[in-house]
Amino acid sequence: MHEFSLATDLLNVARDEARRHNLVSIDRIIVRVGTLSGVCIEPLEFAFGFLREEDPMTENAEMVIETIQGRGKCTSCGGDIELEHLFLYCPDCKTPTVEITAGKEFLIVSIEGEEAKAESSAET
Amino acid sequence: MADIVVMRAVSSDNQAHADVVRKILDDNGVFGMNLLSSPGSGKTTLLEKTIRDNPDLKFGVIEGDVFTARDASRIEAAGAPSIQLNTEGACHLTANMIEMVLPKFELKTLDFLVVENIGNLICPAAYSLGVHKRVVLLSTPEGHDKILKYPQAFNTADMILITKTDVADAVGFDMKVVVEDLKAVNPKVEPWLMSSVTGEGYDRWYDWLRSNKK
Repeated sequence: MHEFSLATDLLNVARDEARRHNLVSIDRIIVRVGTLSGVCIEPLEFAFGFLREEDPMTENAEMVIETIQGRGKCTSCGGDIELEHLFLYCPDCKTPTVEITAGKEFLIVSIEGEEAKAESSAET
Repeated sequence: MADIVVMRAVSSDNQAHADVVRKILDDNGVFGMNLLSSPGSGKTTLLEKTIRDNPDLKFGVIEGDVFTARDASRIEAAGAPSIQLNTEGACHLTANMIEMVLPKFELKTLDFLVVENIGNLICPAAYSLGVHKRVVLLSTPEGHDKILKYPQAFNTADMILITKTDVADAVGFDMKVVVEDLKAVNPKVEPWLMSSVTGEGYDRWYDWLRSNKK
């Protein structure tokens, strides 16, 4: 159960990106999770709900998860296969030559939030 | 309201630390390994025997455990410097932890830095530590069915060592199942058979280590 660690990393990356882009708060984080990434969504959501409150920047942030189905391509027969697990055996030609083409992702797609107001100059 | 496209891996934070670790190891001519397995599969025993049998090779060991310094004491007794990392509950080591303890070693004097990860086949598999090879152990008493049960660990392995082969028959361990399951989970890696009791596989392991010495 390392989803607390993963949620910590996820929030750190989101806050880092927010600061880079001059956001003062984050309202929404769109996250992509592949079914072969090893990430369990339910404990990730639990940890996220708890850890977002550690920083005012993310205390109201919502996490939206896009799930990516695991897929592979068989390098022997060229078949495009839906993968449920890290089981790289081609069901059509029965050879262990499947290369994963999708499903290992665990990334932040985008963040939405409030931008810092432009500082007004004392001259104006 | 602003919508910012990020497209950044959640692991990028850990990866940045892993990149630092790799650079420090490379700059000092040290070959790094991450040993990953269940508790009790023989990681510390493999290291003790390796250190004792090869006095000309210089090892440094980072021992990851939830509690106690027992493993670091065993490694020190075998003759290699060792740093114990206690996570006090956490289930894996991260690259940041490795980066923080690297200055405690005299890296210029080492050939190998070995990280013995927390005994666990799930969580440590998700964290790159910046070392050169990930070595995953499976001991025969754990059962021949573990490859498919914990695919992430075996899928990401650069090397797979089947340990305690001396008791394989007594515990009904069927190597054919392991070979067959690995074809599906990690076809690029051929498992090596090892026993610290009979010495099976150790010459090959030592040759491999020597071929990676920088």
